[in-house]
Amino acid sequence: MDELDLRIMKELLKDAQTPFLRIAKKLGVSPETVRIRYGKMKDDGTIKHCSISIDLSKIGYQGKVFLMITNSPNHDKSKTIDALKKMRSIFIISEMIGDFEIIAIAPVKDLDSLKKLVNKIKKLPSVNRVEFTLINDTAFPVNLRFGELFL
Amino acid sequence: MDSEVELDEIDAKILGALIKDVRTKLKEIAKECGLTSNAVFKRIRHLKSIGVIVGTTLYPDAKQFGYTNVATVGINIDYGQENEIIKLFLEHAKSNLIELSSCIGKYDLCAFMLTKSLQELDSITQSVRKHPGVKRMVVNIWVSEPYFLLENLDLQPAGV
Repeated sequence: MDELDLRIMKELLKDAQTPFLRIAKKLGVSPETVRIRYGKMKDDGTIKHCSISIDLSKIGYQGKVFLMITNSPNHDKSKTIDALKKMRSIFIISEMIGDFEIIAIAPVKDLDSLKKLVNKIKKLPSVNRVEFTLINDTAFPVNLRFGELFL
Repeated sequence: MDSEVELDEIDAKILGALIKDVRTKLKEIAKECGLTSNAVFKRIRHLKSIGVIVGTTLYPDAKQFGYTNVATVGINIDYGQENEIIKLFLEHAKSNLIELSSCIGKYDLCAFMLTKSLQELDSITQSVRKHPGVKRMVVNIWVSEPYFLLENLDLQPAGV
């Protein structure tokens, strides 16, 4: 990432829908340059995700759940992760070190749907233990202030 | 709870496309939904006005900004001390916090942070831990690149 990439990125961190033409004018380059740089950053993973932000409370969710999963000994962790990836609603998964091995984040509609999700995970043979904590924040995918960390 | 909106299938398709890539062209979404670009534009405008769409999120490769660690911090707090602890976090980790929310369950407060080194993570957690209202603090460090499966979000949880 060079200086120009960084400046383009910073404009997009403020609003990822900023027209390339506007960014180009501001930075004194051609819109085509901005487009190419953006494409390159997406391709090489410098930009990992570019999504709309949604308030989950408006579409029927009450919050989010952090699922903290401990793998069974002698079972491959990647098996658990593959199974989690296929579960509709889980939108972030990561491996961890600490109290548990995998974290998964999903929106919560109601207690019934939460129970179903937790049970589904518990049923996986590669899963030893599932703990969770509910948060009432309904920002998707993350808090809107997130981009400010990089400005 | 906030006033809820029932999204129809077309709204869900539009949101789905924008979750996948916020820069998807109107023309492409329109084609997908069998609508005109103008109709899609109006729907997006409506979704914004009712507060479903609240902005955009670009997730960069944090490493290129010097953030080498992602950590989740779970905290158990003495009753009534939450605001104090939140204040402490904001003071010491303003440029690190992805999310900080109160919770129900295993923890009372959960923080999601990016840090530039383990030392920085340690210094933040130590500063917060000092507060007498903190009963227990658990730090978990993410070791892999997180998988983002944003398309997994069910946009019509109530079912249509």
